[in-house]
Amino acid sequence: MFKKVIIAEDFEEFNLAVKQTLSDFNIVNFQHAKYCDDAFLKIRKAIQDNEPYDLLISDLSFKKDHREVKIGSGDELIQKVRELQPDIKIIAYSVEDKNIRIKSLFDNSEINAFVLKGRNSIEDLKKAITLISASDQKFISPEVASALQEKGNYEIDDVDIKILKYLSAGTSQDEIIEIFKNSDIKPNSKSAMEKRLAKLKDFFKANNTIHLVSITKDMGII
Amino acid sequence: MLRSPFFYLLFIALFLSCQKETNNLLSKRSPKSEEAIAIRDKALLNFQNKDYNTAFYLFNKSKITFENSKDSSNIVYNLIKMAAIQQINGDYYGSKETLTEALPYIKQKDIYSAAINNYFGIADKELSIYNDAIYYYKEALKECKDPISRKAPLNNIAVVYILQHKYDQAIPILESILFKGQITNKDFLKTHARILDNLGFAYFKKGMPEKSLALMEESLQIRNELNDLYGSIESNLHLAEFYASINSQKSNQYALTAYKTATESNSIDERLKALSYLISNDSNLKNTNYAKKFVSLNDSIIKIRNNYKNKFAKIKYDSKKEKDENQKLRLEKAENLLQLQKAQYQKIFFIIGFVSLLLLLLYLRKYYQNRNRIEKLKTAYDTETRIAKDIHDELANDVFNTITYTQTQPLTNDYNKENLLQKLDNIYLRVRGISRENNDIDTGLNYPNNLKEMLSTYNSGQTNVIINGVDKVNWDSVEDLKKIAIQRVLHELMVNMKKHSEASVVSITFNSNANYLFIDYSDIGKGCEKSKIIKNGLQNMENRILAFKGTITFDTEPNKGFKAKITMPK
Repeated sequence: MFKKVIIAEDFEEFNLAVKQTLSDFNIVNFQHAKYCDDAFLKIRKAIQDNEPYDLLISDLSFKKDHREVKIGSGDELIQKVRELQPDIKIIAYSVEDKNIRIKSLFDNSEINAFVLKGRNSIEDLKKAITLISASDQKFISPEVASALQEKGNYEIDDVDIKILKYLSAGTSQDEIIEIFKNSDIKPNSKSAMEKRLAKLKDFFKANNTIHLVSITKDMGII
Repeated sequence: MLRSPFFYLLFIALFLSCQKETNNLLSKRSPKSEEAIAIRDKALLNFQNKDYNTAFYLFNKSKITFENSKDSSNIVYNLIKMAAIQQINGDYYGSKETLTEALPYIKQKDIYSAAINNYFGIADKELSIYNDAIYYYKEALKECKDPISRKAPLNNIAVVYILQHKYDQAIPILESILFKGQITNKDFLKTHARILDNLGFAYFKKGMPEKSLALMEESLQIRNELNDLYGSIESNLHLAEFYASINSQKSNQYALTAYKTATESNSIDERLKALSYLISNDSNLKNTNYAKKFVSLNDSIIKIRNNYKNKFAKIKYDSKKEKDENQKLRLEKAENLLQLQKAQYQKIFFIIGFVSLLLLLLYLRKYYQNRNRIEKLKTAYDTETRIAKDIHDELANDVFNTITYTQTQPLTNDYNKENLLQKLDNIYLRVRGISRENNDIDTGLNYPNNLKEMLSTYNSGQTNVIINGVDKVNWDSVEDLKKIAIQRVLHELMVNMKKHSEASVVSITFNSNANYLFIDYSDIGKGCEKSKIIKNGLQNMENRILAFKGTITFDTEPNKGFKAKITMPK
């Protein structure tokens, strides 16, 4: 379990939840910084004193006030801390639910956990701390878990539209494969074709191919 | 060479009258006139020194200068002097021309018109146009009122009659103007000698030698006493002619005296005449000499006179040319001045134009800045009111309900507590939604991904949002403000979809060509009556797209879904 923890967070109220959680884990040595700059200085000093922190829990957005700051956001702080102390475990703790930003934190700053502030945040935080203290596994709140999945959205491409057009013209699957092979359009294997059709049916909530063509025609896609 | 001493009289009279006028008018004369007077005085000095070329040139120059100040009496005076110089040098045609030039300036009969007529008379006499000569002398006579001044023109008329062999007409005139009694005035005595000489000659021609000789000898005596060289030549020549048929010895003697005096006073015509008597009188040895002299003298005088004629014509022509050139130069100068002025005006006009253009530009800049500012303020205000409305509609009610719930329900009950938490979480989610809707939009490299993600957030168990072609659009070439507008419009479409349509499938297709961006939205949902679609949200979308000169059309029917087509210039 973590021995020395630092929390970067400008909201006192949210700290209560975090403090509660930490005390549940019997972690008593934790410090709090209201500004990213302060948090970074403390981490650096701790390294110099040879008593480094082993966990950073950081919010992503900080309110701007009268004080001029070098590090303006949690993203920056996390990135810098990761460079300064590669072995520190980091939990990003935010209301942010943009997939891109979350994915970037995992990919570029190698955070260990992302906990979404919400109704289940205390539960999630506990789970995250338990998980990352014991292993190198990543944790992400289930509400935003889709951020880490490849192709989280329903995107179709030109080949899909071509297939739909041929189908609507009465062309059979095999004939489409043949045409694709002749005009060098890939993928053109039978299995790929079936996979695509299945995907399209799934996307458009169609029961069968005829239904699929009908729906896409109605929607003006073909 | 001078025709008659009478000229001198006239000259002096003219000169005096001019001088008087000059003094009177001096005070009001321009510098130009003063310059002309100075030139004229210099010309007179040259004239008295018999430097006729220079005098003629200067008189002409003075005349031209007076022409500029339109001083007619001085112009006439200068012209008369020029004519006199021409006559002295035998250029009678030229003198008539010059005199004619003076005529337009004569406004009344006065001393000038008398002089002009007199000179016309002399010229015509010398050119052997006797009738005209008499006419002009008579004209001159009209202006001479007192008997003494009338004597000179009358004498001149008589001389012409003699030349015409009209002795019967000449003699009475000459007899009538003879002085009676003792004469003391030197000038009168000179005139008297002339009249006597002419009368004697006329008597001689008439065939009354006794009467004639006495008069001519008396005249010669008076002239010799007066030392009137010119007069004495005249008398000697008359006497030579008188004796030519009677006593060639005596004739030769007079002719020789005349020749010598004429040579002294440089009177070539008289020398020639004297020589002709010497040649015809006798046939002694000297004759060949006289003949040779005559020929060479005649040749040279013709040459000199032609020379003078040419010179005078040249001076007049040159000065005319100079005058023309001056006029041309003046004209050019005026033109240059005009052009300069024009250029100046053009410059001023250009500067005014430039300044007003600058002012206009400044004004326009200010105007557009202001408009921009107002638009920005308006946009900010619109956003504020929209957020306020969102908060009121979406949150205030829920928060109020939750407050009432906590006030009325015992929270010790686990079910109630869970219910409260659910309500609070709901509120929290909505706040996040409002925050997300009004977040800043990243228009950089991440724009397409953010757009996809925004659309994908509306994926749910109930709804599939299918996206096509976001990456086919070259977003770098789309302006940032347009990107923002597109994202906001699509967001509003998605919010509407979620609120009203209960759609199971939504498809958003992106397409583009060189100039336009096409976005088709289509869903399979409840749709609505076309007449009811003009709602606030849709109006907002329209405004956003129209602001960039794009178009947006909506198509919907109950149970047939909802379609929107957006066209946006890149």
